[in-house]
Amino acid sequence: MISSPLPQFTSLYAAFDRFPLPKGATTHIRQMAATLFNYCGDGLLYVAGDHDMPTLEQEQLRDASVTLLRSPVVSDSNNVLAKAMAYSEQLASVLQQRGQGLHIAHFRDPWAGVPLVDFKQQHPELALVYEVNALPSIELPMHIALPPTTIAAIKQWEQRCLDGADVIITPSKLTQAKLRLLTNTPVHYLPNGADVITDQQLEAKQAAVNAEPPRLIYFGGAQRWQGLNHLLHAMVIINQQLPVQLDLCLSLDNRQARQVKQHIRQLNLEHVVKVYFGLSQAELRPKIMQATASIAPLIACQRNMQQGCCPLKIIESMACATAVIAADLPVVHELLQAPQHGLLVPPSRPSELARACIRLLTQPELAQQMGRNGLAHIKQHFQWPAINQQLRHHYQHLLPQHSSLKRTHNECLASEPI
Amino acid sequence: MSQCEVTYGFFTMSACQEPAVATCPECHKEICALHWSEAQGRCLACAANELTPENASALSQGADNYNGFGMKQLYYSHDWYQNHRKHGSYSGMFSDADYAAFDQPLTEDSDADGDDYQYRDIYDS
Repeated sequence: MISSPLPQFTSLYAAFDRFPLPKGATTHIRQMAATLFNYCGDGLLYVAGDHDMPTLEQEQLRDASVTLLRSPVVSDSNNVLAKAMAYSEQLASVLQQRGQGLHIAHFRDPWAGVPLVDFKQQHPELALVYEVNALPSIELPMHIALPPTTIAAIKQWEQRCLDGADVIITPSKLTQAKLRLLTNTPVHYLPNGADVITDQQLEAKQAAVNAEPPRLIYFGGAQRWQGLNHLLHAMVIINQQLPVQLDLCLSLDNRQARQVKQHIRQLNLEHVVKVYFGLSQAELRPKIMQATASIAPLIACQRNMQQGCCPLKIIESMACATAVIAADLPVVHELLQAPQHGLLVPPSRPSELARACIRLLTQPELAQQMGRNGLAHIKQHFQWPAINQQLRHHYQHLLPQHSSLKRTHNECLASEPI
Repeated sequence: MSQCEVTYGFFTMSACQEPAVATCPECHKEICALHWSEAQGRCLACAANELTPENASALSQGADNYNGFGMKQLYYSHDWYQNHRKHGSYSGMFSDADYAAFDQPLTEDSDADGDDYQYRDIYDS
């Protein structure tokens, strides 16, 4: 609690994300951080927060003592660079004051990475894991018109982290290949995971009378690279052919989501598209299971084609035994095979997307079979316990002498994140 | 008996709901013993707000009077955000032009206000 000083910690997980939020990044952070903390027995989770979130908390996570520190965000400051630098400055301060016992740090972005790389220069025994989900030098210019000199400065920060880390992990093979061209640091592929539905839930899903009208679902963010506008144009075509409902489950009611809602009105789709915001996993999963197909209409932009990504929406849909209709991109090929698990369509082609949707909406048995195949695929390759075990191996490789190795294998399994 | 209204828990946030022992005079929430500062007569969150540095120069002087840990670092004020780029250890990493670039309108922004532009929107995966 904030009445006590920040304790010493042996492990650190740092992410420049508000946490927790009903979105994929939170799921990822929860899984990775819990694995780290349970491996080390204690840890500090350093994330971003806002005025509605406590700044400092301490909790017991299974058998690990965990402290959460949220770097506060001033709501009337929209300068992302200023926020990122504030986050970096605070981490540097925390490390100087309480980081003497730190053995291993796992970070998601250069804003945490540079202070850690600097700290490692004074403490070379510190092991650093850089989890690259995205590169700001690629994603930021999709939001803001940044001059080349600014992008170069950001790239310099990224490069310091890539070279200063002991190991890099990334959830996309595309990203892995790109990063191997940029640094000599080992780069390992570690995909996102999912919790699969139970056999009972699968039986109930298959026995359920098909919803009327039949449902499609999109869930996730509303950034331009998600391709939501193409899905809405496809919905216009589908709606002319047969009755349908699209459950649009968005993370936040933000600027981008407002643009989507405006687009829905412009296309006269208010009666076809039901928009939900901030659903919990417990609220979202029944909607995924109820849908005939889940749509991932990613566009072929630099972020998806060169940087790489690992869309949780695809993995979680398959884990719910729901067929996937996705853009035909290399990053999607890493997760599913067509036509076994779903259908692939050319990106940014609403008519092709509509045709694929109509095919599954009119052949629900085919969609169900794809869903079952996808579930089996996730069980084999993408379940969180197996992913977390791979992550634990990386920690063990970096920290072979750590006292947590005295714990038995069963003890480690028992402390896997929920 | 009323329950503590502090939002709590970092893997899943929820209300604390421990039995309340007082009402915070500042935020007017019901507060349990765990989240109550007896010394200051207010909840811990409101008590912590008192530790906000009044200006950037206070921060640069490095005063730290909170249990040996720089709690001032946890509660940056708006002024700090406006001025910290001249004080921090990473102040030279990005130029004024770089900061100014982030003050520009969004590339896709059709709204005049853009009030909820968040870094977290960028790092969604």
